[in-house]
Amino acid sequence: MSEQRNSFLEQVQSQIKSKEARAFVSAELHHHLNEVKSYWLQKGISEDQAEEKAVTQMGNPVSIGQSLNRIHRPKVDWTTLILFVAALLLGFLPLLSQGYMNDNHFSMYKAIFVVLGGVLALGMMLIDYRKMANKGWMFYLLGTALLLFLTRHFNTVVDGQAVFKLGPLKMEGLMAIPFFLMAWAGFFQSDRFKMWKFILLFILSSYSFLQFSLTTLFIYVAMTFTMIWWSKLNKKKIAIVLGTGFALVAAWGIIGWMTVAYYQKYRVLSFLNPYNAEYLTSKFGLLEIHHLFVGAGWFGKHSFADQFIPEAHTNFVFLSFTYYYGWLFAAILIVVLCLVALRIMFIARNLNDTYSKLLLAGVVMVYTVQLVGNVGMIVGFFPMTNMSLPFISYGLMPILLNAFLIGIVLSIYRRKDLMVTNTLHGNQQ
Amino acid sequence: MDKRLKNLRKTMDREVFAQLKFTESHKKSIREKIKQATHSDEEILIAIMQLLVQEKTGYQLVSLLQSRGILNFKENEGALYVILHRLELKGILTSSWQEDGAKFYQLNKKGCRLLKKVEEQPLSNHMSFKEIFEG
Repeated sequence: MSEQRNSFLEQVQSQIKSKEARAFVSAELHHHLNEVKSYWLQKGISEDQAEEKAVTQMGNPVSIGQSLNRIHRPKVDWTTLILFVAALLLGFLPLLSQGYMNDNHFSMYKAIFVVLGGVLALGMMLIDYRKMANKGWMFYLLGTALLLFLTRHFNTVVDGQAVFKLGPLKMEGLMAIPFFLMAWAGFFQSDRFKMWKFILLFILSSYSFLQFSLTTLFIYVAMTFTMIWWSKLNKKKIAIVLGTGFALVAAWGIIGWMTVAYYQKYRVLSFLNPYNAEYLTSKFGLLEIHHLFVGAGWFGKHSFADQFIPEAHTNFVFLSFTYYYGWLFAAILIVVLCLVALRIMFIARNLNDTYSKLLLAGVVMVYTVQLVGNVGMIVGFFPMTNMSLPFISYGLMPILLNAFLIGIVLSIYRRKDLMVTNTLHGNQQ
Repeated sequence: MDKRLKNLRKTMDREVFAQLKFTESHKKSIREKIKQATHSDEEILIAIMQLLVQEKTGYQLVSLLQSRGILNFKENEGALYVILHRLELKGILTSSWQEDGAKFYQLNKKGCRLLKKVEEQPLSNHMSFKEIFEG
């Protein structure tokens, strides 16, 4: 490479802030210079003159660089970011209503959780997610190791679930979801990934998740089954494998029905038939929830004086929120949370890179299952589970999980126009 | 005041302009600028889009534009890549890298629709065109 060409390319690059953009802009101009040079060489002028002509024909490197920089500036997705912040701030309202703000350490913890969530999401935005594409195995092993660790070393049991408690921190199976999200996205984007590997790895990981709650397993299965649809595997094969899977689970469910404990049967039965007299004896059943929900009115009761709602800041946060602030505020909350999902789907639609699409498909599914599951169990079309409402439920781990999801979205948006570098490997001199 | 300005003019004539010569290359560059101005931004964009109905690299595009008489990119070939990248970002072009490091551009469905529209009603879409040129 000649001195002149070097200084030209360096001047262009010095104007461009994005490292990725610098690489592919330089590669493209380099190729152009080569073409022009060989044109002049054919005309019969000397190597040095041809090189000089090629560079001067390019024009002013600084103004080219400045214009290209304006095009390839890293972008922040303000829409997602504003929705994320709005949802986090709305998450303080349940604490406010229950009087936790003044006399309890709850509010301080909540503030710390929210700040940590924000830091995680913004930090992930700066990381280039594309470097994780070929690290599927690493994430799979890390996720499995985490699950194994939690099954061996749990020290508390909450609702029949193994939980590792360390001070105010609670580690549960849900924390392995991000690892498996990254793992499957990495596997599915590869051309060499085979169906038998999927079946083996999926059964192994599902078994690990089964040691925790059914809720976590449900999120995991929903996520994986959504993501495989965007994979490079044959669609027909996928349909056959998933169909067989569902049939086996259904068979297992029928056999299991004969053997499960009464309280588990009870949950399902009361869900299917909530007004049956036998189930009304329970302390806090569906009928009670329905009663509170309908009684809230448009503007809420603004007091809990006459009612007690269990788990009012975690699982039943949507109920307590509605009861206190009314249907109108509940509707605003739902609109904000739904807009997050819609925004992610909108971004995913405009991408043409398999890995990013897989990641966003997983993100949307993990988020939506939580949202629909939590709201659904209050409204009455989803069984009682311990699904938390994204961003609103109290707890560090749920907030971190959802901040992680937002972080992926921000990272993808930041680089969505730099996709071309994916095919650039090895092309640069 | 008037007098002082006249003095300045005299000094300028004597000191600065005496050294300045209107050479042949100055003449040439002025002529070229006049020639270049005959193509409006819209005409150039339409030409680029028409040429990119088939896949092309930036280098191929420059010489084809010149043979159409568009000399805006003469001695300023880098500016073409600015426009190409903008069009790609707007989702009008798709691009692909070849093994040898060449980057090919082609009009996609959205681009073809836009081209058809501006070819039918050349004055209707100037706003979106301006955006592409000024970024």
